Amino acid sequence: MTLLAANNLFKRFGSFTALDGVDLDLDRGERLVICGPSGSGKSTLIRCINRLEEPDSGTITIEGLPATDLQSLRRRVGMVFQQFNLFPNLTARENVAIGPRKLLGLSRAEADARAEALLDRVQLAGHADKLPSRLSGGQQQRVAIARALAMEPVLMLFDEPTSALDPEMIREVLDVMVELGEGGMSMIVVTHEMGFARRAADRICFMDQGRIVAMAPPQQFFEAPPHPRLVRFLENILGH
Amino acid sequence: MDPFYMAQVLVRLLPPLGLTMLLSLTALVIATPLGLVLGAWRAELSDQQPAARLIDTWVLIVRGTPILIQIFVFYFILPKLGLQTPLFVMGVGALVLNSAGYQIEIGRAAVQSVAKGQWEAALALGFDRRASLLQFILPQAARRMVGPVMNELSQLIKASSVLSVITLFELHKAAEAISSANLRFSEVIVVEGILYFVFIFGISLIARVFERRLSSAGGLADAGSFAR
Ligand SMILES: Nc1ncnc2c1ncn2[C@@H]1O[C@H](COP(=O)(O)OP(=O)(O)O)[C@@H](O)[C@H]1O
Ligand SMILES: [Mg+2]
Repeated sequence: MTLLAANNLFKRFGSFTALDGVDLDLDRGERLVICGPSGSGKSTLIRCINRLEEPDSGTITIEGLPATDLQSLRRRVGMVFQQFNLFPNLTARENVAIGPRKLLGLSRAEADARAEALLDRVQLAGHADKLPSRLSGGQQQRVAIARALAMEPVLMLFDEPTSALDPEMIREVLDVMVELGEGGMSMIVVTHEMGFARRAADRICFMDQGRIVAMAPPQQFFEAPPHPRLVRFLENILGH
Repeated sequence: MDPFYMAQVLVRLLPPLGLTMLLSLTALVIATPLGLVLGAWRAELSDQQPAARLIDTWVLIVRGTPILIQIFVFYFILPKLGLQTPLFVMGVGALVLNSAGYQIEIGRAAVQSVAKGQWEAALALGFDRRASLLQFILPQAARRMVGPVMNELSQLIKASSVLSVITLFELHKAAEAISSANLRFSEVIVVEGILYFVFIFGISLIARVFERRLSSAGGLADAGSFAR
C-alpha cells in the first residue's frame, strides 16, 4: 500500500537544477536507501518531502492526501539530520519531550514518559538528564532519532545520519536504524553506508544530476548494477 | 585636592545623580526590549520589506551621527514641529532612539547567529516559524545578547551626560555648574567621575547576576515549563 507518492518534482536554485523530474513511491513499511554523488540532489529530494524545501513543480502525497498545512505534514514525517541539530540548551529528555508536549498536547508527565521510553529504545536510558554537549556524536544522533520518533511519524527521513560521526560510532546509530526498520517503520535514508543498504534496505536508488537513474532491490543493485554511472559510483565508493 | 570640599560636592551631586539614574534607567527599560524585539523581528524580515528598510534607516542614522546632534534635533526641531515636550521626556526620548538603534543590531545579530540547523530541527518537528523563534531560537540568542547589551548599558549611562546640553540638570550639568560657580575644577571632576563609575559598576554587577542565571543549564529555554 502506497504511503508516499512524489511525481515529477522539479527544483531549481537560481539557474542550477537540483531536482530534474523525480518520481518516487514508497510503500508503507518500506525502507528505501538513496545514494549518489555529492550535489546530485539527495538532500533536496528528502527535504522536499517534508517541505523544508518547496519544490518548484510536481506533487507529493502522503497517505493519499496532499499536504494541506505544513505543520501537520511535518508532524507526520520525522527527520534526522547529518549534524544532529539537537537543541543545545535542553537535556536529552527535554529534546525528545518538547515536540509531543508542545505540539501533541501531552502533559509533561506523559511527554517525559514517552521520552524516557524512546531514549531507552535507542540505548540511552542513563543519559536523559545530560545536555547534548555532554554526549558523544553517536549518542547525540540517537537522541535526534528518538526526538523524531516521539512525534509518532508515519515516515522517517534520514539525511546522511552517520556522515558526521567518527567511525566507531557509526555502528551504534546504524543498529538503531536497522531495528527501527525491522519494527516496520517506513524510512528513506540518504547514506553511503552500503553495508547498511545491503542489510536493511528493501530498495536502493541511485541519484545523479537531479534524477533517479537507477532503482533496484539490494541484491540486483550490487550484483547487476542497472546503469553504467552506478557501476562507476560503486567502484569508487566500495574502493574497487 | 580638598577632601572636605569634595565631600560637600558629593552631597550636592547626589540629587542630580538621581536624575541621571532616572533618565538612563527609564531609557534603558524602554530601549532594551524595544531594540531587541525590533532586532529579532528584523532578522526575520527580508531586506526589501518596508519595515526592514525603516529599521535599517533608523540604525544607519543613529550610528552615523553623534549623539549630540541627535539630542539637538529633539531640542530644536521637535518644538518647531509644534511638539511641546517636557525636557525629561525629550531627554529620555533621545536616549531611547539612540540606544535602541544599537540594540536593534545586537538583537538582529544574535538571532542570525543561531545555526540554521536549529530552525530546521524545530520546523521539521512541526513547529511553525513563530513558535520556533520563541521556543528555540530566542532562548539561544538571548544568551548571546547579554554581553553586548551590558556594554550598551554603560554606553547609555555615559551618553546621558550629553543631555546637559539641553539644560537638563543631570549629573554632568550639575557638576559643570558647581565647578564654574566656585572655579574649582579638579575636585568636582573627580567626584563626578567616581559617581558615574559607581553607578555603571553597580549596574554591571546586577547584569552579571542576570547573565549567570541565563547561561546556567536550561537557562531561558522554555522558562517555567521545564523548571524542576
Ligand atoms: N539552498 C540552496 N541554494 C543554492 N543551491 C543549493 C541549495 N541547496 C542545495 N543547492 C545545490 O543543489 C545541489 C544539490 O544539493 P543537495 O540536494 O544538497 O545534494 P546532495 O545532498 O546530493 O549532496 C548542489 O549543487 C547544491 O549546491
Ligand atoms: Mg546532502
